[in-house]
Amino acid sequence: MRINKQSRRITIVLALVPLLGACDLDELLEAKDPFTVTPGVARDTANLETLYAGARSQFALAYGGLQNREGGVIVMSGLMSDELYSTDSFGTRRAVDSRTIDYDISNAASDHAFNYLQRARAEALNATELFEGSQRDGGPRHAELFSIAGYSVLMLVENFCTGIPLSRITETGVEFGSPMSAAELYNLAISYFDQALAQPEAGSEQQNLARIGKGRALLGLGQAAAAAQAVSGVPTSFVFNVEYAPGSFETPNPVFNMNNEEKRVSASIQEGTINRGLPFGVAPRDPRILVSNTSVIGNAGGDLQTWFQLKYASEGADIPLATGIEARLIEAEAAASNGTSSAYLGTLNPLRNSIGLANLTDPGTAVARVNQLFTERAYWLWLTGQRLSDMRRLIRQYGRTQETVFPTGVTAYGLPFGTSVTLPIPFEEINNPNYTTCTNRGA
Amino acid sequence: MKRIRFLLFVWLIGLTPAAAFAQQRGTITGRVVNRETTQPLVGAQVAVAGTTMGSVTNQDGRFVIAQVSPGDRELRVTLLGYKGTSQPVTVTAGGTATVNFELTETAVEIEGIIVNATGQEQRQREIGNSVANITTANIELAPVQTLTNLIQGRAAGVVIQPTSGTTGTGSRIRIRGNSSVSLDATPLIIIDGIRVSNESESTGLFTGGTSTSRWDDINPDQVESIEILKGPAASALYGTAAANGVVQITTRRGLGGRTEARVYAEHATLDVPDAVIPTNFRARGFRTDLNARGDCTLVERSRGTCSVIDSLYSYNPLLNAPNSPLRQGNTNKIGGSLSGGSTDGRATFFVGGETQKSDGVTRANELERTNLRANLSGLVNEKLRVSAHSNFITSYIQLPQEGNTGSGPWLNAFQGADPSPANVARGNGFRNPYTAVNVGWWKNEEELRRFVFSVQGDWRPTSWLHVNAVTGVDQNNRFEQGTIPVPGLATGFFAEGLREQFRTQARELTGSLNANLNRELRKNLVSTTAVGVQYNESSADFTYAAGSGLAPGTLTTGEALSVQEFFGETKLLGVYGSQQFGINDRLFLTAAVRGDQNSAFGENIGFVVYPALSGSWVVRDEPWFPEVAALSTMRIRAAFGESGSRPGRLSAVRTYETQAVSLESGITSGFIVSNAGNPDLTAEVSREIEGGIDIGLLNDRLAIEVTRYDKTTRDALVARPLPPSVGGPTSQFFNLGKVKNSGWEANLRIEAVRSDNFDVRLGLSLATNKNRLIAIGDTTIPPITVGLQRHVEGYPLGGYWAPRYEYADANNDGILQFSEVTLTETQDNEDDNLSFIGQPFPKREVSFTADVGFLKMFRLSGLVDYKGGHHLFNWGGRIRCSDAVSFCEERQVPGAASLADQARIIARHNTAVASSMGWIEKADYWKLREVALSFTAPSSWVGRLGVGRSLSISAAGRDLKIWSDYTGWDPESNIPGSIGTDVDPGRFFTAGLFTVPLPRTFVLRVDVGM
Repeated sequence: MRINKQSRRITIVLALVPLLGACDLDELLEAKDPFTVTPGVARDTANLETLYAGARSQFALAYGGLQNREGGVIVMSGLMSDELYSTDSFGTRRAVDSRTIDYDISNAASDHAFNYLQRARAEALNATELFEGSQRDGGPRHAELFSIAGYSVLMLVENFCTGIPLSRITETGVEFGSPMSAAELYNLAISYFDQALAQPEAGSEQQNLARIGKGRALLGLGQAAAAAQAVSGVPTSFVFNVEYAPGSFETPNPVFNMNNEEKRVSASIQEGTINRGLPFGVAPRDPRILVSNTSVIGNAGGDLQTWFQLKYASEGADIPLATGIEARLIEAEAAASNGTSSAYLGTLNPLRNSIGLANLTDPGTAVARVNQLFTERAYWLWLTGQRLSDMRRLIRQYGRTQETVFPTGVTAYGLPFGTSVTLPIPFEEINNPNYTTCTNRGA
Repeated sequence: MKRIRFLLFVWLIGLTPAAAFAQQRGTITGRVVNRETTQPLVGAQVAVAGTTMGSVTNQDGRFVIAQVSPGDRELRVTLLGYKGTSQPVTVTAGGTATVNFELTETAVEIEGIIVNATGQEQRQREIGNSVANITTANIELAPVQTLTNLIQGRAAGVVIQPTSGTTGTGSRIRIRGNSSVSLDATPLIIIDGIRVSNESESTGLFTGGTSTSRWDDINPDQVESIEILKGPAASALYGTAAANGVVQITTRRGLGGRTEARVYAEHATLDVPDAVIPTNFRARGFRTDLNARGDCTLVERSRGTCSVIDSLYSYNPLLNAPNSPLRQGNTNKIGGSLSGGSTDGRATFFVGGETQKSDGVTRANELERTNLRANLSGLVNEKLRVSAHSNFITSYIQLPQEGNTGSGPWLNAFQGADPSPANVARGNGFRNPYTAVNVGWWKNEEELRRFVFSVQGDWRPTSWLHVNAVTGVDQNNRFEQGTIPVPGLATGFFAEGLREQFRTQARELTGSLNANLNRELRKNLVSTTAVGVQYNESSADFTYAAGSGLAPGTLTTGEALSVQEFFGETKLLGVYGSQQFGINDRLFLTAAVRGDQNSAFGENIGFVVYPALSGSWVVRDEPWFPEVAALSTMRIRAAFGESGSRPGRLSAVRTYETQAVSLESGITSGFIVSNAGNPDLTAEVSREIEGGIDIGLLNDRLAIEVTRYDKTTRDALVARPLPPSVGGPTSQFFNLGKVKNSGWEANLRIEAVRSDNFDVRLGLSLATNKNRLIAIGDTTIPPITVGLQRHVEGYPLGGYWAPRYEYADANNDGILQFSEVTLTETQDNEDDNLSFIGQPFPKREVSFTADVGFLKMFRLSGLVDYKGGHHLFNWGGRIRCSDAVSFCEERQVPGAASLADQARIIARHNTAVASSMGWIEKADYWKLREVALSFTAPSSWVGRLGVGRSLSISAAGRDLKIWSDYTGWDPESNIPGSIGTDVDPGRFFTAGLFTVPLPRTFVLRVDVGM
């Protein structure tokens, strides 16, 4: 009898177990996550400044790079052109430097720049959407975000092979972009700069930044006159810097880090053994090219020498993104393309005089004038990520061949130069169903 | 929440009054001995059939089972390695019945006891799936340095892949293949009933790819047994997280009776054979392409740009003391334990401790570990036994830079390490100058304080009901610090120095409540019902700080680089039930189901249900079974089950992260999207069907077990790569894939010789695994790549893919020209021009054990194992031979390279081929894993020596010899950690890359019992 009673009690209690399923599971299984930023927080208008900063952070990483890891646009453009050469043993960086790109495999070195340019573009556009309708709609930050998007697109098309898609993550999923032509990308960048200029409360700094970006994009389209028009009125003294500072892994000047600290890249003295690049480091040196007088052994060891650039003197050195000097150079190119040598030299020489350089004289031919102009551009814009674009423009817009524009022969580390003139779109882009490969690897 | 607490309260309180009605009961006592030697058998499980009541024999072989209901009972005794038996016994109210057993040794293991998910002990004969059982009592522990050493080669289907021979580094552990595309497939670990950390890569510091492992915190000397449930057919009741198998560890516990003290000391030496360390060469000569003197290697000779070598230098920076980073390593261990309990077994205890100090074979590789354990158990009253298990571990591990890092000595010794005299003078033959002093210049240290504690209550209010509750915590607090001092290396890497600190507090919390009802429904029909609920909570609290600008010679930082903090947790609630019917103690049928809800599931997902079915039929025991003299045991078994793996903690949620940025106003933070999220994410579910047969021959002296398994994972979580053009996260999780693993496992054990003075036991274990990605679920997804590895439909997960090439020395001059190495016309994947070269994980395993006892004092044991059918990317070899600046002998020295060697060097340099196929090598190997000779002094000698009650001395070796065609250093050593979890969340990446080969280890151990 006792056993039966006991059995019944136990059975009743055990039968209650399934009722556990009726408990408030949401409450029980609610996991604490105090440090995760959810969309509700990130998209709160109180965080507009943080979203702006997010876009700026990605652009800084795209432009300069990430210390101890990968170079950004400046380093990659510098390696593939004649500004820098590789002094570590990484095959990916050497492939860029020696212009032996395999477009069908990943290149971690150049992928960094592409990935972060895309991130900067996407984050900037995400932020602009939240600025719209907010108290800061039309303000300086709003304008700057459009310019960040514009410069991001501009640097993509200037440095990478043609057929770049622009995709986005939206609230509902992923919108895969289709490969775009160079003209489409330049025009898209121009539209972003125009939107920056259209912001009613944009200050002169934001307007000049957008004007120079627009002028640079128009140069890419071969519309020098329109480019000059876009930048007219930008004061020569104007400088818009991308800021860097020691203080975190992400913020130091990566050019200084990769060259002067890690010795993974070297400033070029003069690259190439057959066709030679500009003699940036050959004495007597131009005052615009600040290169150390002595070298040290590079990261790869052996007898591969590293020369230090001295333009960016520390981890905290800012890097100019847009300057009034560039505006003048754009105007000079427009003048040169018009054949008006007086206006052309009249624009360049005051710039030179301002740093104690003698006047240039007209070399007399259009071809020589182009050489002179692009040399001036190379010296003024040294290590600002424009040299590869200029070399491509020489081929694309001025009829030069890559053998006469880029260094050829043998690299400093003994590998022969190849024939690539563009950085590869990352192999991982094949995850975009609309993309297969670059549509044009040429200039 | 309140409702749950109330229900649990009601459950416990409701049951309590039942105790008041217990009738007066009796006691069963007795002794278990070896039939042939009459020696007492320790650890034998003695159980009252049809009940949950039982006991374990002590050092004298004695057992006591109290509070047995009066009546006619059947008493069963089981012990792994011995043939189980039973005897009838009559229990009277208030009386004591005595039953003695003599057990016969057997090679058949179906009587072994395992603890199931509901905390109930079951004989293997009742279970429809195979369970690997490792009992330390049967293993010579001298060559076993870590927990993974203990498992390696002893369980068919369990693959242990060490990342490195560096002391303190972990291994990748996989059971029955990889089931998941994008989740880490490391098995779950349960210790004494609670989940503990199963992190096999737990280092946050940058080491180049090696990592500490929480597996090896566990001291093998304190382990009593390990049961390995290999897949969902066995682990369904463990639910989400058990799809990759469960490693269930029972730690040592005291046995009733006299207190036994035991102390042991161990000394081991470790060394890397010189033969595996290659020499660097450099050939120079006149180059026609440079019109000057330059490198004159195979590449130039093949190109025809250099034909005459004028200088050939060689140097081996690792074998030239005193600058070599290598040394002879050593390990010293001292440990001891006290165990015992009351003679009636009502209270037992085990208290043990060990301290270890090791110096690895690379300078600056150190390990110090202290491990303390106390396991206590006692009857609170006649129905309630409470057991507490506690383990405190403290350790310090210093890891050198190795693997995928230019900052360590190994890569610096072989990548671009110019052996010419000038570089030897400049940098001791390293690429960057290294000396024995600065090899550990970048110091990575981990200090661990870990406490694992569980309490288990076993309440047996009646003979047929067993309620057990377990709760416990695994709290591991880690302090990791990395230091790059000032001055550092001449390379200038972090010239201002670097200090990094990770402080992690990780916790696994388990609570479970189970009820097992065991009733004899009618004669020869036993019903076992189990229901339970389990709660798990995993959390990690983490802070990171980094600073630079170190003052020379100090750890004082001048500037902060980064400060981050993080807290994350996942919670899981599972409810489960199972029903088993045992018919005539020969046929057992079980059905079970578990339902899980997990905080990591997407918001649209409810309970996930895992069913299981199994049957076990000891057919040889059927009366109708024909009498076959040689066939002593035969069991047929089959099982089906499902279990799951949950997605990552935040995989389902759209999240943002902060990023530091320098603006005009100073350094500030910005938000960027970090995770795309997917609200429909659910657990991936693995379904397994297995079947097998266990046979005992020749009076069970020969045992054969054969198992076939077939495991399919559906809704496999796939981190679908996002193209960079989205400008955001690199991947997004979806439940897309389908993966299949199938294979055979076979064990053969022979008691070849059994006599007083000489016995021989042999074991052979075989396993196969066929792994295939059946579907990726979305045809728009291109292959997911991890370096040279890809997840491609129809092929093994993480397979190696490369352009296939051919070569022919057409002019027979012994030197391949560039034009003589060409791409194979037809490739497996024409779109990508790639072919499948091989899979990264073994298809075949063999292990062979031998255990010979002679003269009653000596025991010689050995373990040889084989892994095969897989490939390994010899990344280190490729760097040494086939990069731009490579100084390997085959490239530099004329005549040193076979045509195949030449082809793989040239194939990388010939842009028309551009293939690494030649460096993806077959990695089959045979390894002489363990050899041990132990001497156990006769008790009369021990008595005369006055050293205690027992004395044994063992000399052993581990990883003594390897046979393999792999041309890298070690086909076992591979390095998943050299690639990020963002790129390879499933940890498929395998490569041999400048990590220390597994060292030869020689051990001397003395063990004294008192």
